[in-house]
Amino acid sequence: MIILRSVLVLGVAGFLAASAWAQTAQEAAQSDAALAVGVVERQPVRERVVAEGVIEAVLQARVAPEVAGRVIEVRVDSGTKVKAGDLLFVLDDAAVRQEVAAARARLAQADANLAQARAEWERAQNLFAQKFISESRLDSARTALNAAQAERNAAHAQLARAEAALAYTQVKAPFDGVVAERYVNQGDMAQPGQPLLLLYQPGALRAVAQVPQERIRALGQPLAARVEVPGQARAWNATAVTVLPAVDPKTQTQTVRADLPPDAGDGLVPGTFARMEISAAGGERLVVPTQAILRRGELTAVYVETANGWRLRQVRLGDRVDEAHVQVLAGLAAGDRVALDPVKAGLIAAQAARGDGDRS
Amino acid sequence: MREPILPGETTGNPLGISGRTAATFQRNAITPLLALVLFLVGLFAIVITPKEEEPQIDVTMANVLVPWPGASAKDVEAIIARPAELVLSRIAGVDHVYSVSRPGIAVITVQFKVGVKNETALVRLYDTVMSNRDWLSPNLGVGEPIVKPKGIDDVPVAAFTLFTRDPERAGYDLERVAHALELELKRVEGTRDVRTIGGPGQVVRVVFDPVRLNAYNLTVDELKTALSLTNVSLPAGMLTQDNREVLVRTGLYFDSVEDVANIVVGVVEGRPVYLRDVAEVALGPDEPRRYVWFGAGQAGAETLGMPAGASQPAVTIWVSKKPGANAATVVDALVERMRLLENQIIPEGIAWQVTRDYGATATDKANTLIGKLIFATGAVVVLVLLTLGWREAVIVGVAVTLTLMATLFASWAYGFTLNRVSLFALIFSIGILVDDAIVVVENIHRWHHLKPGEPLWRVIPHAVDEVGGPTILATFTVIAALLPMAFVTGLMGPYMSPIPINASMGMFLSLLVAFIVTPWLAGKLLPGGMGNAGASAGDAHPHETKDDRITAALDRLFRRIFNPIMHPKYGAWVRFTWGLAVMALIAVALALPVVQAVILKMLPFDNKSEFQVVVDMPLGTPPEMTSRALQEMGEALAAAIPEVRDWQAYAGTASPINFNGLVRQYYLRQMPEMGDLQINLVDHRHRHRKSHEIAMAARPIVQEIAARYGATAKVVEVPPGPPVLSPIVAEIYGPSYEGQIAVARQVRQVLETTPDVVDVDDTIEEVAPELVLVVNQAKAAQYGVAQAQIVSTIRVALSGDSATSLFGGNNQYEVPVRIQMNAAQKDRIERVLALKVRSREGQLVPIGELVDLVERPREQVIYRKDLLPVVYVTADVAGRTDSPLYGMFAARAALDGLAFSGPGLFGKLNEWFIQQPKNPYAEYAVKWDGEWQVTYETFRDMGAAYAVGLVLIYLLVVAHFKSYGTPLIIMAPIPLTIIGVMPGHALLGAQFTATSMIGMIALAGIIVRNSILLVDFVIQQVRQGMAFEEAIIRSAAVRAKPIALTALAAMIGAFFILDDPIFQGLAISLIFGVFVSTLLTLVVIPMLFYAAKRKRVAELAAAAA
Repeated sequence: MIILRSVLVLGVAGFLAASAWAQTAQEAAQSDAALAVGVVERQPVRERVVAEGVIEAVLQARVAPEVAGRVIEVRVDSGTKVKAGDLLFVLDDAAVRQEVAAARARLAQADANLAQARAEWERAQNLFAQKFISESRLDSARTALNAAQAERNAAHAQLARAEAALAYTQVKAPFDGVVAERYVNQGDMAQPGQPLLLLYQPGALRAVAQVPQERIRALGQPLAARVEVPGQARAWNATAVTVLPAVDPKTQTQTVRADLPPDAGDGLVPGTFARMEISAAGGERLVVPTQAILRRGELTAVYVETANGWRLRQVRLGDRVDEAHVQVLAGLAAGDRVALDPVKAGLIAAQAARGDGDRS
Repeated sequence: MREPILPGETTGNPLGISGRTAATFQRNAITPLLALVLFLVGLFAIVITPKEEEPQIDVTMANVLVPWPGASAKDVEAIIARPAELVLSRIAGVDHVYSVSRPGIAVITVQFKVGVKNETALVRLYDTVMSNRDWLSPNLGVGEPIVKPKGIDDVPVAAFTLFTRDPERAGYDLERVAHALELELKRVEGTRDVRTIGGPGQVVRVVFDPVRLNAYNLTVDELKTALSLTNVSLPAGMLTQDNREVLVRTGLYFDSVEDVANIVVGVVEGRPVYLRDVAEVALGPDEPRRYVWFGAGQAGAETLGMPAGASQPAVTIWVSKKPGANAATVVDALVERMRLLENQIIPEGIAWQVTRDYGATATDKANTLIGKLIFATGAVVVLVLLTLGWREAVIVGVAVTLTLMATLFASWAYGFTLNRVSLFALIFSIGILVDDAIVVVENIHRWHHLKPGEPLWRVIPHAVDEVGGPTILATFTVIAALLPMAFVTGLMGPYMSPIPINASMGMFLSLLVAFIVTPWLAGKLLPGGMGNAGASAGDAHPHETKDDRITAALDRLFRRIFNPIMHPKYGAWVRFTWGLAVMALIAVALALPVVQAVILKMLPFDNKSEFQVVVDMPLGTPPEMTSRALQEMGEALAAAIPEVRDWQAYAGTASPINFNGLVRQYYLRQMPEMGDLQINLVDHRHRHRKSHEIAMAARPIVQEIAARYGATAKVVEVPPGPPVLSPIVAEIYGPSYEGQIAVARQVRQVLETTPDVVDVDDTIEEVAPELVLVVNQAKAAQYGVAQAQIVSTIRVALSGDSATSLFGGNNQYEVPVRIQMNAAQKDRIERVLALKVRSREGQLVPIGELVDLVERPREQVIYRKDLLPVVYVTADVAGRTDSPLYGMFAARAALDGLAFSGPGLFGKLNEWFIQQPKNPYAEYAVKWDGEWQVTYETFRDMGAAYAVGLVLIYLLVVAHFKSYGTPLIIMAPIPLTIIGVMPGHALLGAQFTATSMIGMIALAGIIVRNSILLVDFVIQQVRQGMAFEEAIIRSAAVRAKPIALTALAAMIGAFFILDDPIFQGLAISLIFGVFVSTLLTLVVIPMLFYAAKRKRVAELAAAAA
């Protein structure tokens, strides 16, 4: 029984294997025709220089108070997005208010002085008309009036200034942006000119790198740049590339600025290390799909479609052009059709050769 | 005449061993099965025995390389070479210890005695090297010794040369393909080493720009440090996280050129300076130090599809085989594998050619020889057919075939391969092997004829027994002559050893077959009926009752010869005249080599399909120039010699070595000024000229070109047997090396003017400039610059220095990251001196400030041999004599009394032939070496073997005849062989070689057999009552035919070897030696026996009573 069963099992297994083999053979035959082919082409290729730089914002501001005062309220923190005019900090306004009161008092006093001077003037006019007083007395009364008037104006202006200073205790955002860093905490004493926080506009970032000048010169114009940030999967193409004209005499480098598109700000922070790939249009180069490259030991080759089937051709590769293409320096000509699945092409070629051998 | 009686019946004695053997097997059912088994094991042996062209000899050489960077040749010699020689020469089994001390490295070569097993030799060598590692202090800066053993198994059996017509591709691309192929070829079973020759190698070139380095305030040293410090990675340990261990690795290795280019080498003004800012970084070919070219010849142009002479960049992959593997199988599999890899690894546009196929040559040789073996057997069988009849022919044919089959099996079991020597041993012994069968068959037939009434089964044991004794004796005399040769030492002994061993085994087996199978066959085949025996065989065999026509004629002839000899009155005078004539003939024969009518040579040149041109350009030649000279030679040879199939030029590297190159250490020829040209000819069947003639024609062409380049070029043919350093080697010894060099120059001059001496060379270095940058210690100290900084910077600038390696990828070989200066800037030393090093204070100082420039000639390389300093002068001989011995002796004559003059020189040149001078301080002396040494040793050993053989033969004959005098008479014809051998060589214009000597030794055994038969016959007849004089005449008349028959068989066997260049000598010795000595023996032996015994006839007769 056992023998019978094992024979059966073996038979079934054999049948299955045979049919599977037949199937794969069939599939192979079908996919032979379907073996994808890439074409070797001349493509404009960009010359490139890679430099390491940093990200910086085009618009960024260190916000500082215009009046001195203790910080009594902090409205924002690092990373907070703010709109222009948003309140950032509130400074203690007690001192400022007292100044306003003082100004007011001074104004009242000036008003009083002015009223008195005007009264004196009117009196002096009458007296002069009655020729009670000399003309010189009349002049001095006029002068006194003018002075009182000016003093009153000054007092008024002082009041206005004191009131404005009161507004300055409310520190507000100068533009739409993101708080990069806050330097003070509640209770700190703020001084005019001493920055309270760093604010930048995320929609306008750029990368800056130092590049040896001869390399920049060798690239030619116009320049394009692509910026990558380590640790981030994304890369950005620069909207504009500027080479600053000055050359650092010590390092013989020039500063290259690559402006990033507005959306770059979502993931980037100024000061980040960035890799800048500066490129310029080069000549046309022969390019082959990366998929087609076959490496066997130290051999680098591709399978080329010829009248005699797939032929292995050794190639010497140059720089990578993009994700899917690489430059070929020698071994191929434009228009050559290469197998995109070189391993399969090799199998087809080997089996064809074996077939030939069997026949001969 | 008496009624013949069966031997056993007369004496009533029991049968001897031969008779009993025959009786046992003649009607035994096992006998045909035994025969069948013998036949089958023979077939089995033919199939499985590895085939080789030449026998494999255990030659173990090992190079011990001890680097000592920066040391002068003198220091290297004193500190390394001398102690190393002391240490290495203590090893048992070492033949010679050579050393070459170059500036910076010592190469000590240990040559083991031939036959010392490879493993044993190497174990002893490693043991010695390892146990003496503490000889030198590690602070000295002497590197670890590297032991590179080379043996016969390191000789490649196959070589494939890849080349391309594509002008865009060069050695670099071919090298990538070759490296990818290596692994695939290694997968073939039986392969040992697979290596690629040629191709510049792959490196990451870091070509620094001195200007930019200065601008960034960096030095070359700092680049190097940065590279080696950055390329570091180590597993740091484990981190435990979420109940799992996470492996932590610090750092990553460089795995692309970008990684290398992007390392930071310094910081200027807070900004990093990248390597790419100061250097060009690229993956690609190294600066080429070697070039390989492939070119077509006229004979190969068509198949290769390229014009003759045109050459293309190439690389060669060579493959050696494991010991015991069959070269033919391995090479066939390799070629097949190469075919399969076409379009898989070998890309389009890259063609390949098999430039060495030792499998094919071996198979070719083996098949040719097996064919010859069959023909020789056939020819002998035909001889028997014509003289004895078809039944006898069948019996003899079967017996010989079985003997050969059994011998092939025995040869396999002994460990021999099927090679030219082992097969030749069989071919030449065929003539002797048939003898046993013929003698037995003939005697059976005779007795059957004499006693027609007896049934065959009763006759046979007695018939066999009758001739058994002499047959055994004769067989053992041949074995006795040959076997001592198996103990010959040196390279020649093991090379030739299949001859004595196979032939002896063959003889012994033929004896067994004759006693076991032949009687059975005779019983089956010979007509068993009465009286009709003569019908088939006729009267073509001698028997006593009635002489056939030939015997009768011979009888008359010998009576006419012997009557005067035995004339009672003036017989003594006639005998004296005969003796004198024979002596004169021997003297004339011996004079032939003296007057150079016969040239003595170790071994003649073989007709191989390849030769080599070894070129040494003047010291200091760049590889490009060497390559140019080689290409020019290749093209010139391809144009001038129509037989050239293809050629390969190897500049700055060595071609795949052959056995010759192994012994001459051609694999060490890796300097840019060295090169060689491998010329492959069409198969010998498709050309008329022999390779030696072609090589002779090539020499003037090559030398004309070499002269134009100031180079020396040697045409090196594959020597037929064991190779030596050079055919002529003059080793100059003396008390001072300068003096030795001066003497060597004089010796060289003499050799150059000696006629027929060509390819003269020596080991004296040509004058080539050397610049020494001497560091000004005071200044360097002032600046705080270490000498090591300067040394390393200059080295990087001029040679490039590998700072670290590139990892990853599919590279089979390490890809070094090599810092180097732009090749275009390496023309003037000033550029190098402008490089800067960092001082203690941190500022940069140009090297030029710190060193002084001294120009001087390059140092002389110091050679030593067996503990003495030596200067070699080497040469070859071409022309009429073609034998280095004559060139050497011609030069000797000219050197005789060569007087010296000059400082440190005094006296005359002394000569040594066998050993180094005893006291090198007492004289300047030349020790002749090269082929002379091998010839001397070989002929000395063979001479000794010959002598031992003669003694053994004497003992055997004494045992048989129970007399001390008779054996001397029996052995008397041995000198007669010379009368045939020497004129034979002169007649055919052949050289007397080691194989001729082997022939002579074998002859001794064969010829003695004739005398034994003659003397045995005389004694028998006298005992049976015949008159002594009559017995003498009858012996010659009756025995002449069987003797002639066996002689003819031996000559026919040898005839088939005649066209082989190497074994020609053996064939000539056998054919002419057997011919002449057989003729003379028939007269001289009876005459001598008569002269010796005529007064003691009574004793002879009495012994019978």
